[in-house]
Amino acid sequence: MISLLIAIPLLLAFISIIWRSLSKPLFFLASFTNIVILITSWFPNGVEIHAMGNWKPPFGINLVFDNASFYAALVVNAFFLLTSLLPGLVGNYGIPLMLLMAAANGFVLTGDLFNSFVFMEIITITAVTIASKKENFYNAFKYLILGGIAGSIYLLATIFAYASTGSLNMAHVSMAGISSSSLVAITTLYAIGLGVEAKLFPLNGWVSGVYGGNDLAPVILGTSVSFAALYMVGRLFGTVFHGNGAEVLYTLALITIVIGEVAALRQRNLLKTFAYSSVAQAGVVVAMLSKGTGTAMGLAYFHLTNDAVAKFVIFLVAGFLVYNYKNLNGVFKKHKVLGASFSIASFSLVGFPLFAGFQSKLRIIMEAFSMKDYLFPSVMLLATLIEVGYVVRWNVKLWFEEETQEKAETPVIASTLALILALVLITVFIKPDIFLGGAMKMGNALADTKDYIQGVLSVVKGGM
Amino acid sequence: MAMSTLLVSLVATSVVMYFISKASWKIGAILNFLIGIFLISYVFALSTGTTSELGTLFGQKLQLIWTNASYYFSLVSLLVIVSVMLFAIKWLDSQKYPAAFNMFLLMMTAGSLGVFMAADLITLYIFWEIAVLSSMLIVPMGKKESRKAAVVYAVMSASGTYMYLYGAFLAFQRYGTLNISEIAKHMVSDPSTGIKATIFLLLASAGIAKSGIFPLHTWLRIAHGNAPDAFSAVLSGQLVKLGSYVLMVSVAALPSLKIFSNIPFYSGIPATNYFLIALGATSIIIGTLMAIKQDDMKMLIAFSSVANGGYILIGIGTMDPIGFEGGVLHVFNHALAAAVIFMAFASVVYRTHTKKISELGGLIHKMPITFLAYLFAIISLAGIPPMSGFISKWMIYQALVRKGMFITAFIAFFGSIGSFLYVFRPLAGVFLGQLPKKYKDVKEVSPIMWLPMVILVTISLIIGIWPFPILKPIEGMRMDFGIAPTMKIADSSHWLIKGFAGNWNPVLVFNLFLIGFVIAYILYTLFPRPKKVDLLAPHKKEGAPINIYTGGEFIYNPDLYQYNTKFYAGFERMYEKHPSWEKLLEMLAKFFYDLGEWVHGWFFRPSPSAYTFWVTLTILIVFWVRW
Repeated sequence: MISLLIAIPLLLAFISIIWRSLSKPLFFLASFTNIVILITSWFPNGVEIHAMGNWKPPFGINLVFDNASFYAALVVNAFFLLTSLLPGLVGNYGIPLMLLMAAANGFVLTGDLFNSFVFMEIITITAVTIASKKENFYNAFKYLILGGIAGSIYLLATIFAYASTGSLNMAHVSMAGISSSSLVAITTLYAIGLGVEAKLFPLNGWVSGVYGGNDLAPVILGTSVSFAALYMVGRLFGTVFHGNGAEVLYTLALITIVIGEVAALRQRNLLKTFAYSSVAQAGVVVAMLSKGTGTAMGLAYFHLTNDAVAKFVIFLVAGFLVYNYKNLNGVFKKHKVLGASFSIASFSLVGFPLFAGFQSKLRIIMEAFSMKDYLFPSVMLLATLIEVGYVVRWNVKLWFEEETQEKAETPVIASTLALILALVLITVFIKPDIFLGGAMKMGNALADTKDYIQGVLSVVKGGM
Repeated sequence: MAMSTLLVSLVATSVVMYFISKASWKIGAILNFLIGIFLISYVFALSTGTTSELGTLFGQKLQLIWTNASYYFSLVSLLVIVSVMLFAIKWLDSQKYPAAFNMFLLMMTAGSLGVFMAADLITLYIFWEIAVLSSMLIVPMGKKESRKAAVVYAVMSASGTYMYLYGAFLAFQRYGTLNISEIAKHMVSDPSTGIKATIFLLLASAGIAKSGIFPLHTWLRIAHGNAPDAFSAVLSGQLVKLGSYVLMVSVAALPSLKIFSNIPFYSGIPATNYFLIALGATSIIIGTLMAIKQDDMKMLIAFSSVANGGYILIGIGTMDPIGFEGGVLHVFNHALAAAVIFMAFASVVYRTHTKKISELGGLIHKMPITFLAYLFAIISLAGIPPMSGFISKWMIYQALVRKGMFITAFIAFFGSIGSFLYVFRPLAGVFLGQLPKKYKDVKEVSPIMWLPMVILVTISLIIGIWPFPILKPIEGMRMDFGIAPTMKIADSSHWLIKGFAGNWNPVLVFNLFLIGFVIAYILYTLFPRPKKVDLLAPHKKEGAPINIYTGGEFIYNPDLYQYNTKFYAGFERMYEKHPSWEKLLEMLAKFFYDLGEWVHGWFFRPSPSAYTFWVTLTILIVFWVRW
């Protein structure tokens, strides 16, 4: 069943190469079916695997379906579904989006290191295609180069892992005793290889250009793909390598937070400002992931979910504004619904009470304190202070400055979607369990290596 | 209605209020006012000790408790807010965003009440942020400069708030509770002075930022000066009092005398408190000197709020029974006076569309009620009997003298005399002097606008004569916090406030003033009236005599001789080239911008080859470190 999550979008992508005009409805169909599949197999609460070609693990490639990959796949596909509801945004990019969806699902579900490399490469290539929308070629090229380097380093890490354990299966690698010096090499290379997609400093040079270059790229790359990449950070460093190399991630993450926020502060371009903000939020998530406990990782993904929902709204609104108005002063006076959604999402980003971000930020600070980490909360609060600066500045500019231009047509679907998601953010403040429950299950599943190994290596289910 | 229900429904109502006000802002404003009246009655009906629960957040109960302090601060806040709500029913017709104003004003009210009701640090934080967020969204509704003001306000307020949050979690990590009274117990028995002092200062920083205490005072000028005019009354009269409340929580609710008894600094006052007192004293100096030189009347009173925040902090910081009561009473006095002054200015701006003192003058005959309200408010602000402002300052001086804190006492006296200077500047410049030609058709504002001012001034006067109703909850607060619980300061049966160096009988003083006033009035009626001279007569009619001259020269252009430009030039020259704290903070902001610029230039702008370089370098460094 779960292999369908990859197969359906892949198949529909190839069909729409023949019938190009069908690509938009087929994209919607693919994401809708995926969500339906996921809903029918709600939280497996155990480890199910799908061994390709019935090769028993650790031989052959297998897909792993546990609480962690379920929740990640759910979030990833949910944002694809939301994107597919916006035909204006999708444009001619239905096929790359479907390929991206297949790759992202594969990346999340796979239990094989080399296989994850393959999916990562597909993600990079399709993401670059999407990034080149609106003739944003140079920035897409930058992304391609960086993504390529990241891919080769990821591959190198996989080769090292294979050389020292003789296996590519994640469960198998995690139980094999790797000598400490090879472990250093492997985890370092994985940290760098994933660091590019996870937007860690200084590997995140591509982010502002790609997110700021068109309206589609940030909406899908800043939500789904980010989530998939950060899921893999948790899977590799939490489950497979038992926190080895966590201090590298932690250090890079703290630098990323500060760098991302100061870069966002100086930014005068709306899309790029929030691109840098998503860099900083990725830093927060990675810092929490590096702590390695189930609770910490769960909170990290709770924060990431909140951030992704908020970013979806922000990028959706910002993309509309940037490509319809030359001067953004006071545009929200004409688009009150978009404006209210944007404000709610951006306030949630800062972590003001009444919005979802408050729940995750406070929990994260509390968890860090309970682990006697005094540095991370202070960095995070400093970052939030800078965030307040630019979030308020943009809100004030977009709402209150003197308006100058004619009104552009209000995008009805986008407004409705943005408003619904904004209301979701408020609901999550009141009932955090909507996201928190799943995220905590995900974090616990990632932290529980023993269960993972046992599930993968002893139970065989499915087959093709 | 339980307190939690009240707060939640107030926040929800505020959103509904937006749509009501969208249909008709006038109905919205009236509803707001009625809700305000209901809240006042609610506050009166609630008995101390009532608790309520808001829910749980990460396993911590969010609790509300109604204490003497909640009663007092809520009442002061509501007096100011409800007056402004009444004022707004008419004033809003000059505003661009009346619907959003109504919504956020109500939301801010809910936030403020929540802060005063909170029994634990996180509940306090939540409502604090609601109050800050909603007030921050009203500030940019003013003129062009108010946009930047909102950002400055948000950032400076956040800098204090996040330090507070860090302190709250530090306390939670150490003591396992967020409840304020339990933290107080744990802190008393905690042997580590360093951590206690850190928690204390971190918690107090939210109050420092909010009540405009040096070094985080600069936002007051920018935000209070540029916010929508009537809202400045709320900002200065009510919102900064949230800061005073947090300062009081960190100094008195966490009993600083007991907690820091091992680090006495001077006259039994611990070093931590003394540090705050020093900041308060600095605020008095800066606030007073800067207020004197402002030409913008709103900025002038904004700086005066800095100075008065200093008085409140000094009074509370001493933890002396009479000083504490004086500091807390000063919250009430300054709230009422600042609210009336800003509403008077809002009325002037409503009619004349300028807030520059040098462009105004002579409005006394055009707006007599506004003038009288302003006059009484500044008498209270400057601390002159029989207005209530005198009593609180007198009590603070008593404490300072008793403690032998001569430097602080000197600064407090200096600030008081300075306040005569700065409150006189708008009085002379706006209401007295020559009426500029263009304002000859200005009228008094409508009763809906002057009524709230008159009510507040009357309350202030009544409390000046009979302060015991307001001193009662303050004495209750002092008992709650255990500051010399056996001592009785307000003695209403003998009409006395008992000080260290003598007592104060407000009724007697008022009667003396009344007699003086009657004598002065009799003299005024006996002697001939001054003759009115029309300066413009020569311009109007050929050959009319020019009957005013100065320095041996006739005045042909009266506007040039308007004495309210460079009003205190001689005095200002003494500290013309003062170092500017505002510039220093701007430099700090610029530092972050430049850091962003630098980061951008090095890591984000370059070509793919540079990115490759950074990737390689990172791998090398990480390997080098880890091997």
